Order: sequence, then structure tokens, then C-alpha cells
Amino acid sequence: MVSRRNFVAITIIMAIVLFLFQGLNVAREKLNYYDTNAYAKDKETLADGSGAFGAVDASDQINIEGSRGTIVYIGAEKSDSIGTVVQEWCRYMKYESAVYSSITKYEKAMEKKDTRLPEMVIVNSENIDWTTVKDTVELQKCTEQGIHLVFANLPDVSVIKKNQKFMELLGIKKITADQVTVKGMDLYANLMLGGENIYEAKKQEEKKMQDLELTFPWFKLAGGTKAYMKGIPEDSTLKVQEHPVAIWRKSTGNAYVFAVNGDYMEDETGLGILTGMLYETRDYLIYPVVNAQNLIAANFPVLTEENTAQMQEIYGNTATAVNRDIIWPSFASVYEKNHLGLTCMLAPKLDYSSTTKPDGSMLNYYVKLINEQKGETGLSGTCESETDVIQKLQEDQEFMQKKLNTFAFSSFYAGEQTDEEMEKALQQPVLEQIRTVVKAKDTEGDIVRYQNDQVTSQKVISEEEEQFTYRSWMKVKSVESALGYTSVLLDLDAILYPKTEEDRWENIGKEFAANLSTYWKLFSGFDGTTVSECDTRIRTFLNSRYEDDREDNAITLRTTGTDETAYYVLRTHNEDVRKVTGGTAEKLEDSAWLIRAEQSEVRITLGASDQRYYYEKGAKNE
Amino acid sequence: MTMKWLTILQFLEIVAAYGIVTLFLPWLVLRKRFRRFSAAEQLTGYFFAGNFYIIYLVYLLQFLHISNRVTLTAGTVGPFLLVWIWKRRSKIPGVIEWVLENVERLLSGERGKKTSLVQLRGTIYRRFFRGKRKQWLNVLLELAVMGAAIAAITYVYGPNMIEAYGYKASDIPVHNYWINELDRNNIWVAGVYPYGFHIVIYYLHMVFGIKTYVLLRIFGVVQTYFVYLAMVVALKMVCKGRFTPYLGVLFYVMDIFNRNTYARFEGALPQEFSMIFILTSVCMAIRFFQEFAKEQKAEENEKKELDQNCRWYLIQFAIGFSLTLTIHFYSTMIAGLFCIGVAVGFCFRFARWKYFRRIMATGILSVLLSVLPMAAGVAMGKGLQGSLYWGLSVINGGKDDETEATDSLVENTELSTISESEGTENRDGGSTVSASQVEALKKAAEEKLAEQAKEQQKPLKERLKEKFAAVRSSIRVNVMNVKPYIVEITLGSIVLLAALGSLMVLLREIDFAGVIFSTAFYLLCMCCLQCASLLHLPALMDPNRCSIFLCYSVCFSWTLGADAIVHLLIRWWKKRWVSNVASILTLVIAVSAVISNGLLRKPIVVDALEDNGAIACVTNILKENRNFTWTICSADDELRMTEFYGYHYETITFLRELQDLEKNPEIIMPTQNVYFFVEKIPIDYAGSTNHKEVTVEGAEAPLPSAGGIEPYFAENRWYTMCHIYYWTQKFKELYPDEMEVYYETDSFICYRVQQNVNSPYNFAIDYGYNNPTPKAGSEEE
Repeated sequence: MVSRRNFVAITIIMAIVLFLFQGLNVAREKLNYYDTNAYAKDKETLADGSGAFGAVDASDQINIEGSRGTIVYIGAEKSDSIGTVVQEWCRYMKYESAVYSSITKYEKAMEKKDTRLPEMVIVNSENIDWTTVKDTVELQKCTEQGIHLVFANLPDVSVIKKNQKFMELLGIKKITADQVTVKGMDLYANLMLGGENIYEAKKQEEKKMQDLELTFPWFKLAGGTKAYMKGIPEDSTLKVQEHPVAIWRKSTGNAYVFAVNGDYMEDETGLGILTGMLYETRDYLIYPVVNAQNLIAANFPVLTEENTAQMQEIYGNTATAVNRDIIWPSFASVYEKNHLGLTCMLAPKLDYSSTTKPDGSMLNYYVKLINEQKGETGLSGTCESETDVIQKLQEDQEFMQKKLNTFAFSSFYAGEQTDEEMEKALQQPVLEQIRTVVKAKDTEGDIVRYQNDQVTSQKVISEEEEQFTYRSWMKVKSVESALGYTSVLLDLDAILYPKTEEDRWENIGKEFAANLSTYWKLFSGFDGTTVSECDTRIRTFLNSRYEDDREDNAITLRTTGTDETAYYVLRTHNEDVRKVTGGTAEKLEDSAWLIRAEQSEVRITLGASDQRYYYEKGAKNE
Repeated sequence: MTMKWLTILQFLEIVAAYGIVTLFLPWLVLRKRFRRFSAAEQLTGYFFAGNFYIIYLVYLLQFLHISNRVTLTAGTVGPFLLVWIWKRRSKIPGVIEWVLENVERLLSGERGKKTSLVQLRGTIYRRFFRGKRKQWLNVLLELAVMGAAIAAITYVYGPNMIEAYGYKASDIPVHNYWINELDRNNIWVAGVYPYGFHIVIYYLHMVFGIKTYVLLRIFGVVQTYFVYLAMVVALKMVCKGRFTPYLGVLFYVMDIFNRNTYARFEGALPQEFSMIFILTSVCMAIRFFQEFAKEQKAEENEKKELDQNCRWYLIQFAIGFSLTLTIHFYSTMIAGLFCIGVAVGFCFRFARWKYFRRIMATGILSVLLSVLPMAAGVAMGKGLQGSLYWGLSVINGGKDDETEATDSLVENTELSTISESEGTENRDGGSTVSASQVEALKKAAEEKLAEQAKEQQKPLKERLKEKFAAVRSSIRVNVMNVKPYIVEITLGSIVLLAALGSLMVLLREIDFAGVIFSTAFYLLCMCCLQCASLLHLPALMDPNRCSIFLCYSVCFSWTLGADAIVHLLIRWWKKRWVSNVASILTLVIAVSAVISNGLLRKPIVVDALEDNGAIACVTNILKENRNFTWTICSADDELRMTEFYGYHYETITFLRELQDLEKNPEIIMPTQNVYFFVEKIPIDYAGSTNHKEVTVEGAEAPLPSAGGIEPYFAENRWYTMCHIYYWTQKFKELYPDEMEVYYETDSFICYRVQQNVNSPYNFAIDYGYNNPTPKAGSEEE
């Protein structure tokens, strides 16, 4: 017989167990407000593009208010890839950029009264007159004035051979060979974040990753130089100091002369290199960053049964089932293991030419699921059929109205659409609440910028369904160093409509998981964000201005132009952050910190990175 | 942690390590055998056994080329452990069972923690304290006096150890090199030499993991404690009073001797280490003479035990005497002189065949013991080390003008210029006495000979008077120039000791009389040795060295004299406590008199031959980095210190390579860290420099061209440091962020260059003074 007392106790315990099992699920269900987009905001309340540094207003005036100085670029004024990179970098670093097509023009500009000397002169060698030594002498004068020089590319070896002064300026002791072909490149630590990287394909499967420029002139450097990147020669018996240099620096005592022996300055890779060079000229460098790490699944989930025959053949399942049972579990586990924030760019359909309707219940299911994972659901702007984007968006609007009319998209994946196409698209009702647009890799324009006054644009840095190469790796590293930003895109369109064997999920998924946990792990100090969270940071990054000064060991950082938390990277030489007031500091790696400026004035106290364990009383660094 | 604290901790570690090996382990094994001897004799026995064992263990393993940490530890602990277990083999199972049972009971909760602790406390109390109150009180007084003696030694020698961290004698780097070679099982790298000291340092380094450079920095002071305490222990063996032997320490810390007689105690040098064994070994011989006489008169039933005692004393004498020769030949000579003194003092016994054959056989055995390994070395094809030839030539009377020149040069210099017997050579083995000096001294020698010829024509009385005055003056100049009348007291004490000895004979205290006569004759011999050249006796060692031993013997003799006087005054009271009270009263009065008259020596100050900053840097570098990931570019001091841990690039080599950039366009030091040691105020090395700080004038002058370590001597060091200083300034200008100040004091700065080993920096830069031409007129200067 069970006593009443025991009966009550057993009942209570059972009730508690039941609550514990079921209560949490019920709570999760009830507290998941997936039907409204938490990231959608009234665009009027967000910072607009009028205050962005470098923005051009209606009267073609560039907003350079709060400029930190001038960077001169000597190169073609238009359609010059290096110039584009330099100007983009100047905007991010809050420097006014001045472009001159020749040294003579630059000299003339400097002759003007009250002209402030630039901090750095970046030279495109194609715009230097190598027939005389005059330009070289002028450049040498710059270093005597304390202006740092960056040779973004080098002239032909034959030109260098004839110009001893130029060789001295660059710190080239001798030209070992006009050309050398190396088997890989070694990018040393310190220039960019992420430590030392060796871009050498040692295994057969790595060979497809090698896409760097491996043939270049072979210079031997003189004393007073420092190499940042060297080639790894085929002859392994060669001493390391003999290895051909790709990026280096020569110190003149007053200023530095940097040289890039290759094409690394012609795309976004140049951003990180320039930041690294600026850091090398200073005892410390503090610069604004976006601090956003995005993982974007484009065209995921797809809510319509499409390409069923091929899906059945490859996976033995329908398209929606492949999405739900094959892609999502592995994708979610990769996402959870890494630090990047998740945004899924939903595609109601990929083939708009078919009459099959998207499944509304799947919409609810995925939106809920993504919300549970603290991800964001955006809208994809691409499709498999050649349907006009406006028509596609109208169909999508119709679907959303019917199935989840409370949900408004705040982010949009535009793929390779041009600015004009995008502007039209943004007029569509389904994109009314859009605050940020994600653009495909290698599209025109800055990596982060204002698409229009109210909408920002952010560019994808790495597309995972493509082959990840050493150049991509270098670019990722460079953008992370310069902006603390990355945007990794996995377009699942390729999986639902595979064209080759390579497009199968088992191949793409494997590469995707391996790449993400290898190449991006080094930057896990930056925050994972959804694209809308990233949008807030981009606005802050573009609109903010900053000043910093150092007194003894204390750096004072003042931020203006924003009320939001601004993010900076502080890079020092053999110093550590000891104390921060008005914000926080997190160590990214040796000599690099992520500063969160929560207040407009942040005070950072530095100290020697390593102190002596044993010391004498009175020792200066005891 | 400050370097001072580190040095103190390292000192304690070394004392503990050396104490464990030379006192604790022998005590564990031998305490039952040694029980019947006095505490002083036991201590000496343990100490001799410990040192003898480790030295011969290392010799054996070195000859077999298997000397390393494992074999040495096994060789040390193994036999001790075996003996220990063998002796307790019947008890061990029971003890293990008891321990396990108790642990089980403790773990199962059957026995509480509190109960266990109470029982443990009870056991300790029962074992060491119950019924031993008197014993403890007795020991406590002794410990208090010994503590005071240790405090006095610490007061005199301790502060300098924690103020100056570097090596304090110029030849320690050579010893460091020889010890390092033992690591490679390459004994006698520079030729056969008494390696006792080197072996002890090597042993402590290998077994306890204490770095050799730390041992060589600190062991000097550690061995000084042992030198002082050895005198106390030796005196305890022969004195009548219980506390009067401590007077020896008191005399030896009084400010009555010249600085050069004790300054070398700050350095870890073989000669000073060997002093530990001089008095202790000879006192064992004295004890033999006393004990054997007893045996002769004893009843048959007592004879066996006394015979065993005699054998024990002889064995200890043999070990101790052999250790002097194993460590340093000079100490053997001094111990030999004391042996002659003992032979004279106990001539009535020594001349008897029974005594004679035993003592002579022991003496020969002891010499054989120490010579055997060296003979083996010679047999293996190793020649004698250079300084031994020099030592032998001095003994053979072949002291040439050059050596005399060295002596006279050495005599009045600071410790930093005093070198060991090999000190006449530089670190590469070359002579440091220039030809011009030799010429000048040849002339002086000729003049001296002429003077001697003149002197021989004078009447005997006048000559004797003059000789005495010369002896007095010589001892004063070399040994006791600090306070007046000390020389007279010293010479007078020989007479006093002889008188006391005679009195003891009259009082029929033959054993004690023998000790006093021995000491008197020993002191006389030491005084003669000190002035050997004046007395036309063979000068077995230079006066400067001899003065160190003379002071040691003077303190021994004075203490014995004082003990004899106290004994004479109270001998009629047969009570032991009267003797104890009298001796402690004498000690207290003497201490009070010394302190009240301000006769206690001030803490000694001996400058190190390396900046403190450099040692601090070496210590930090070794702690911070993995082995062989760094290079130190400095004067030659750190070369041997860091040989097994990292790379060394000599400053002068580096600067000479920089002289010709065409020939040496690249100077690479391919390690992750490169440290440059720069003395902003160059240290005073072998001669004062007129310059306080490095200046551009020094850099504008050409680099010293002399070889070996000449570029770091005197003025040359300043030029070298000026050059390296301006090189660092230029390099820092070119690489402001890559070259950082690692450590800086007012006199020293260490720069660190952190580099990628795949892209090391080229240190070959034009710093503006790479190869300056000498200014007009500077050649003539």
C-alpha cells in the first residue's frame, strides 16, 4: 500500500519531471517570436550615409571632415586598380586621398602655400618617368622629408638595373636574376593579422590552391631592410637570406620605403598590406574596423520541390528533404563550431518558370529554426531561371503575404546585380524594410559602403562553392586585418542544380567545413554577426571619425560621428594593453587588440609586453 | 623577483645540495661506524667521505665516458640506498606493512586524521626529545655559538655575494670551460690538472640541475663557510676548551689582515676550496699520534678498539690529504708543511718505527690516491696543463724573472687582477707579460743580485737583524698591513706557542704539548714560506698566495694558543663545566673586545668582472627562452656561461666583421632572439679606465687590434663598448620597433632583436664608425 504522503510525493516528482521535459520545449515554442524579424528596423532611425567619410554629396563635394591626414597616390586618376584600392583604403582609414598622375604634378601641388605634407606617398611605377633619374631623386627627397614611400608595383627589371639610385632607394643590393620561379610564398607575421602563412602546395590536392604570382624578379637586399614576404625557391639548399623577396621595407632613418614585387596591390589584398605598412611606420597604430564575421547561406532554404529527378538520383530525396535532412544538419553543426554569425538568404523558389508553389509550412519551419539558432533570415535575389528580378520579387511578395505577412526581410542577397538593378529591386514592396544588401565577390565598389542613403552594401569576401585558393586566403587575411570583416558565402543553388560531380553536397560541405575552421579560426577574436547586425557596425564604421594621441603609456582615443559602440584594432610593437577605460580590449593575437569604444573617449594604458622576471632594484624596466 | 632574492635562494639551494651529498648521505650510511668519535671528527669524516666519493665517482664515470645525470645520480643514491636497505633488510617488510596498514586505516576512516597527527607528533617527541632535555640544552648552546659564527661569516662575505653577481676572478671563465667539457665527458680538456673542485661543481650541476654559471657565481661564498667551519672543526679535534675553537672564526673575521688575504674567498676558486681539507686532514694525523700512544699503553681488551680508531684516523688523514692534492697543489704544500710541523711536534713518537711506518705509508697512499687518476690521464695521452709546469718550475727553484715579474705585478693589485696559477696565461693560454716588462724586470733582478752580494759582506749579527726586519716588513706588506703590531704578535706567537708547549711538557700533558709544538713549527714554516726569497729558501709559492694560507694558519695558531692559556688557568679544576664556562667566557670577552674596538671586518667589497645587468639578463634569457633559440652578442663572459643553452657571438668578432662591409656584406644570427649586451659604463677589467661612459670619441677611435681577451681589458674595453654602443644606436634608428630595450640600468643596456628565423635581419650596417682611421698623433700615444 502506498501511503497518502508517498503518493503525493510521487505525484509531485512526476509533475516536476514532466515539466522539465515538456516545459522547456513549450517555452522554446512560445518564446520564439519568429513571425517578426528582430533585425528589421525603421530605416529612419538608422544612421544614414550623409555623414560617411568620403561620401560624395549632390554638389560632388567629398566629405573629408575629420580627416587624419593625406595619402598621396601617384598613378592614373581613373580605371587604375591600385588607385581604386588606395582610395578605398583611405576612406576606411579616414585619410584624405590625393591622386596625381605624375611626380611633377605632385611636386607642383606641394609647392602651393600651406600644403600639408602627406604621411605616405603610394607610387604606381607605371606613372614614373624612368628615362631620367629626376623622379627617383624627387622620391628620395620625400623620404628625407619624413614621408614614407610605397611602391605598389615595380618597373621592369631592365629599368631597375639601369637606375642605381632607385636600387639604393629600395635597398636592393643586387639583382640576382631577372626572373625566378618559386614553388611558393612565405608571408611573415606582423604585416597582417593571422600570423605567418606559407602558400606552398606540398601535396597533390593542394596544387589547385596555388594561384599566386610565382615568377618575379629576384632581388638581393642590402642592410637596413626587412622582408615581409619571400618566395620559396625550388632549390632548398639556398640560405633563407638568399630567398627572393616579394614585399619588403628599407629604412632610411627618417622614413621607410616599402616595395611590392608583384600584383598584390591590385585587389582587396592591398587593403591589409597598406594597413600593415602604416603600422610598421608607427610605434602603435589604432584604426577603425567593422568587427563583423558573417556566414551567409544564399538560396537556403528553398521552399519548393524542384529538380526532383536529379535530386532523387543523387540523394534519393526531394529538394526540400535534401535541404532539411542533409544540408541543414551539417551546415548547422559547422556554424555552431565556428564563430561566424549566420544569415540564411531564403529562396521561395529557384525556378520561377515552373508552376510548383512554394511550401508555406516549410517557411514557418525554417524561419523558426533559424531564429532558434540566433540567425537571420534574409531574402535571396538570385534564381536558377532567367526570370527578371522584379518579377521574382513580386512573386515572393505574394507568397510572403499569404504565408507569413508579419515577417519583413531586412537583408537581401543581390548576387552580381548592378547598382541600377539593385536600386530598382529595392523599390519592391518585399524589400521595403531592407537595410543592407549583400553583394557577390568581386563586384564593383567598396567592400562596405552605403548603397544609398539608407541602405548599406556589404561584399562577400569568399564564396565557398568556388575553389578556395592561396590568393583567396591572402585576401581574407588582408580584409580581416584592414577591416576586421569577413563575409563567407555558400550558395546552395549549386547543390540543388549541380552541374558537375564537384557540386555535390558531400564535396562542397567537406571543403566548406574544413576551410571555415582553418582559415577563419585565426580571426575568432572578431564578433560573429548576421548581416543586419553587420549593417549597424558598417554604419558606425563609415560614419565615425576618430583621433588618438599618446602621452607616455596612455593612448587617448576619441570617437565622433556616432553614438554606437565603435570598434578599433590597436596594434603595438612589443607592448601590451594593461588597462582600458571607456571601453574594453580583447587580445586578437600578439601585439593586436580589438578595442570596443563604448564611450566617446577611451583611455588605453599600455605596458611592456614582457617584463623581466628577475631584476635589480633601479633597473629601468624592472 | 629581485636578483638579490634569487641569489639568496640559489645560495641556499647550493648549500642544501652540497650539504646533502657531503654530510647527509654519508651520515645516513656511516653514522653507526663513526659513532664512537667526537662530533667534530664525525663531521670531518662524513665530509671527507662525501667529497672523496663524488670526486672518484666522477673520475670513474668520466674515464668510462658515461658520466651523465642518470649515472651520477644512480652512482650516488644507488650504493647509499643499497647499504641502507641491506642494513634494514629484516625490518623493511615490517615497516612497509605497518605503513600500509596505517594508510589503509586512515583511508577507511578507522583512524582519524587528528589521531594520526597526534601519534606522529608523539613519535617525533619520543624519538628526539623525551629524556634528552640536557642533551638538547647542551647542543642548543653549541648551535647558538655556531649560529653566531655563521652570522659573522655571513656579515663579512654575504653582502658582496648579493650585490655583485658576476664572476669575481678573471680565471673563472677558464674553470667554467673545463667544467663544461666534463658535460661532454671530455675530462682534462686543457691537460691534466687537479680537478677536484671542477668535479664537485660539475657534480652539483649534473645531479641537482643547478646551472654551472650559478654555481661559479655563488659557490665561492659557500666554500668559504666550509673553510671557516673546517678550521673550527679542526680546532675542536685538538683544543681542550669546548668553545675556544670558535675564536678561530673570530680572528679570521677581524680587520687585521690585508684585503688580498681574504678577497679571493668571494670567487669560486679551487685553491680556496682545497683549504677546507688542510687543517682537518692534518688534525686527523695529530689525533692518530694521540690515539696510537693511548693504544700502546692500553690494556689488551681496549687495544682492539683503539687500534680501530687509529686506523680510522689514518684513513681520514689519507683521504683528507689526498683531497688537497686532488683539488689544488698549493694546499697540499701547506698541508705538507703542517705535517712537517706535526712530525717535529710529535718527533718523540714520529721517530719511532711503529708510528713512522704507519704515518709514512698513509702519506704515500694518500698521494697515490690523488695522483692515480691524473697518472691515468697522462697515460691516456693527455699532457699536463700549462700551469702545472709553471708550478713545478717554481718548486724546482726555476722561478725566472718573468715569473717574478708576474708575482710583483700581482702582489699589489686588486682581486680582479689576481689570477690562479694559470693566471699568468690568458684564456687562450698565451702569456700576458709583455717583453718590455720582462726586460725591465731582468734589470731589476740583476740589481737585486748585486745587492745580495753586498749584503753577504756584512757581519752576521747585523745581517740577522736586517733579515728579521726584512721578514717583519715583508709579512706586514703582504699580509698584515692593516693594524700595527700584528706582525710582531704573529712572530711572537711562535715563541709563545713554543713556551706553552714546553710548559705542557713540564705539566706532563704530552699530547697537547705535541699539538702546540706542531702548530708553532707550522706557523714558523708558514712565516718562512712567506718570506722564502728573502731567506734564500726555495720560494714554493708567490707571497701573495702564501699570505692567504699564512692568515689561515695564524688564526689556527692563535686559537690554539688561547685555548692552551685558558686550559692552563683552569686545569686544576677537573670539572667539565668549569672548562665550558671558561671557554665560553673567553669567547664572549673576545667577541666583546673585538666589537667594542671596532676590529670586526667590514663586509668585503669585490667587484665582479661582469656588470650585474649582464647576469640579470643571462638569468632572464635562460628562463624565458627555449634552448638554442637565442644568441647573445657580448664580450666573452657569457660564452661559457651559456654554452649549453644558446649561441654566443663575441662583440669584438662582430665589430671586426663590420669593419669591412664589402667582405662581410651579411652578418646573420639566425635565432629567434638576438641580445646585444652593451656596457654604457664599461666595467673596470684588469686596470682602470679613465672614461666613465661610452662616448663618440671612443667610437671614432679604431677598434683594439689585440687578440684573445685583450679587447676587453682596461682602456680597450671602453673602445669596444663605444663601438658596439653606436652600432646599436644606428641599428635602432633603422629598426626602431624591431630592436627593443630588453633590460637597462644606469651602467648597462641589453637590446633584444626578435626576428623571424626564416627572414633574419642583416646586422651588417654602416653605423658610421665601422673602420675609423686613427687620428694623427694617436699612433705615437
